[in-house]
Amino acid sequence: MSKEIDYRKIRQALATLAPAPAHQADTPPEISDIFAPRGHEGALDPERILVVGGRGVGKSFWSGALLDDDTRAFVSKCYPRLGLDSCRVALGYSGTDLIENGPPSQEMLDDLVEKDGFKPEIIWRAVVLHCLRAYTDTKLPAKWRGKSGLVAWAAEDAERLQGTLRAADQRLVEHGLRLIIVFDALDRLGDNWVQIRERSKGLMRVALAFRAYKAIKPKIFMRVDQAEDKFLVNFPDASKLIGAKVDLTWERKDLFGLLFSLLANHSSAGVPFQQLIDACLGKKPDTEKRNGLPIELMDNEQKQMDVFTQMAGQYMGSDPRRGKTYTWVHNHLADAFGLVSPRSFLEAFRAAAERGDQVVNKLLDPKGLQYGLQVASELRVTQLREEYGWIGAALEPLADLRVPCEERALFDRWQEKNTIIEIERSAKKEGFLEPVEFTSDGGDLLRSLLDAMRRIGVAELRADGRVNVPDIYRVAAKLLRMGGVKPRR
Amino acid sequence: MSDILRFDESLASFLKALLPILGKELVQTGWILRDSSGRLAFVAAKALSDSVRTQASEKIKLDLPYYSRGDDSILDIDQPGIHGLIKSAHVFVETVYPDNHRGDDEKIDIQLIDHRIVGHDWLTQPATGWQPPAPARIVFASLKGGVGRSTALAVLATELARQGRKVLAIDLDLEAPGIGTMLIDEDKKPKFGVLDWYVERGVGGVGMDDREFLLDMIAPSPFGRGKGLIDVAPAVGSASDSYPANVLAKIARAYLELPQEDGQPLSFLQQTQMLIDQLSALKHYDAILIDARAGLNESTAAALLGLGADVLLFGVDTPQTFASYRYLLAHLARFKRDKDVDWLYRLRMVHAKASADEARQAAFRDRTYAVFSEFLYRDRALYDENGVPLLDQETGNPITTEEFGLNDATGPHYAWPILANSNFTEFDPLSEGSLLTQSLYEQTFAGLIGCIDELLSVQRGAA
Repeated sequence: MSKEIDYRKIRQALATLAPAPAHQADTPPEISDIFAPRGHEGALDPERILVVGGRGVGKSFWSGALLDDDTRAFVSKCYPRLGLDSCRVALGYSGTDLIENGPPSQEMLDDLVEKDGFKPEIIWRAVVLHCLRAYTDTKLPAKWRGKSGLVAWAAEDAERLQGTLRAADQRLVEHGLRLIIVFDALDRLGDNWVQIRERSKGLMRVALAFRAYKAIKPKIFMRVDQAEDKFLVNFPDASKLIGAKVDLTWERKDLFGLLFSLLANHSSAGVPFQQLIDACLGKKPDTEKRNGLPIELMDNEQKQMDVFTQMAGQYMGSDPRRGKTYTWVHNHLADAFGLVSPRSFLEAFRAAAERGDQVVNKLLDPKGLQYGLQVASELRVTQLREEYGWIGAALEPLADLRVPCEERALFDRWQEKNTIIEIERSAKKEGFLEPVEFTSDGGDLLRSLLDAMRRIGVAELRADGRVNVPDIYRVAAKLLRMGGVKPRR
Repeated sequence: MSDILRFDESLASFLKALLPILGKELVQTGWILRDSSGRLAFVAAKALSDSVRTQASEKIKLDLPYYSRGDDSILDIDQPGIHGLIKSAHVFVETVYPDNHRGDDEKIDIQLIDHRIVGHDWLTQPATGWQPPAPARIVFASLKGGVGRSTALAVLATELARQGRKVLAIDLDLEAPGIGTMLIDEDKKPKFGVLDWYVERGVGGVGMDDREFLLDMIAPSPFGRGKGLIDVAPAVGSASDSYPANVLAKIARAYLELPQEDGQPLSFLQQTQMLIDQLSALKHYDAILIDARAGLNESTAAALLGLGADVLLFGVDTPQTFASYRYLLAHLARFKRDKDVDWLYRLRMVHAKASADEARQAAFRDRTYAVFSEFLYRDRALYDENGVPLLDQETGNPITTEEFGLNDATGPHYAWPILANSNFTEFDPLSEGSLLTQSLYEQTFAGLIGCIDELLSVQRGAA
């Protein structure tokens, strides 16, 4: 049976999987790129205001997918319970440059706050108002700034503003519509944490206030470290947003589902891959499919394992104690929260496939998988660096660390390499944000750095107080030590 | 003089006294009124002559010294106010044995009007059940406290959220708040509790569909864990925490009827219906879980009868449980049954703190079966292919089958077990979050979760 399956073709497809570029909220993804795991339903629910996710889980991906009419229609079919087909979507913020009819840019925010003296809350209300232009007859100023601008108009007369908003809300209700207003890339709200915090807090307050409206639905995509920033969530009722948040995560079965669906939908590999699936699950003509994949391959881990075993063998060696291939890859790619980003996952297999030419009767072998882990580690740090510029400096001194270990072991290494100073200096020079924890009270910056690493899942504290750094990051630290992580593409 | 006549014999004796004077037909076409104290009166469907009225009234006063209404014991429909009273009353058909002999030829079916000031809500016919796409409604009820009702609700809410669903948990136990404190931190409670809604409505401070007030009644529970959503409406809100002495003052006012400008005042049950409807409409919830107050008090009636919910009746395996459920089910037997959408199917016993031993669980079901079959299960007739009822050849009586058999898992008596687990006593998941993890609760609550999943899958399919 295995002889009939063209593994080479599938491997080629896998090896040439072009990683999706990091998305921006204002550009929609390709419909063919949209993979819709059940676990992401909450993130797209118009009634769920706050969506929190780590780097690379798809915050901007989904923002973009919601915004575009075609992709939204597709997504609506994937999650029929949400009623997305009767929703319109507008962009409230995405950290990009100013475009016509679009949301304000960071520079515009800076000007509105610093030059015009507006508070973040009224600016955000004006942003919402701007998104409602199509649903109100009231004549509104075209520009943002100045005494005759939209924000001034909003600030001038609170009753008038509320009346306009209510009327627009009512009109949406009459048309049977809801308007989702997406806010993404909040870390680009300002140049430093104080600014970002203030503006984010204002946004959150406004989002809470808007629950009183029936059809205006703010949706805020937020980074993990922001959501846990004590100083961001210390206003009354913040818990109403945080407590109801959606954690945007990929479970292991979602990741395998993604991998399989990419192969199943591939132009040349699709057919042999389907043969592989049939060989494992038995040929069933009428199976329900989702994203081009039989539905049991989306949900059923045992079936996924069967297929993956066919692809890569069952164990990581001749001894079953080396671990199952299905679980090994995910375990070693996981951060301290046990989570893996889609990109890391796919990259591991891509690299493994690249190396796997000599593998027969299978797609991949354990050696290839181990190499894949290494490549994925590198990529992960590069990815993280895009969001947390300090990560390289924090990890490199830890290359020879044996874990779990006492905190002291990390602090000693950081002190030796002057890591804190290095981070503060680079932050200024290269223009990235230092860890949000550096701005907390109590000056122990070494502890703050450890806290920052824990926040984003690069380290974890065990019950006995010792620190653990997951495999994927220790590998990366070693690579960093060896000559730096090369920026990819 | 023999024993004094008390409540339980009063109705039979009343009829025994009346029947010879008024005749069976007049009695059966009329109404027996049991007033708010329990005293009895008869209302005839047509005008009575003075002599008949006097004769009956004298006999009643003699035979029932405490349970007659004296000179007002015999009334007729033409008297002022009587017609309106009859029209607006809940009328139940009651079978009475005037001679206290339970032979078939000795009985008489009469129309009984039970007029209560307190406990009136118990007389309301069960509301129509929820149907998809509306969210599922599940009431957690028990006759005694401490059986794990609120704990089970917390576990179910957590499990549903783990599955990605959106749940609203409402605490109707105004006097012994439960799930509110279990599922939300003290400092994160919403401003107003359910208690406040009744009180503020009472003075007209909360309008119909007052979205802002309603939003101030709910707060999310951390046990949503970033996946599904658990919104909690606790009995008592943070505003009460600043004025704790006011809680009792509010409770004293929460159960009052709400006078309306036009029409009848709204009963506690009717107000509760509105509250649940309005909270449920705030978001697209998948399930509304309601913690009812333990016991047979009035507010329990609202939860059990008024909300069209699936009602989980919790009980532990003690004689008390079966004794008290007899009282409840005997009362429920008064209500009409509808062939298609039957309120009986929405009842379900839950065996709380059950032994894992299957034999013990079966023994529990034997006892619940006894109570349900005594009062609620009806025999069903069998029909041939032409729809003609089958008759026994010898006796000519219809051949019947039991509505539910002892081992029929679809019968409400067939209790879903929640296993005894000391980890879940003194339940405080906020300080011990591990209690609400799937691996710990899934075994103990498997009986509940699996069956609720089935119940909700109806809804999922409809979506």
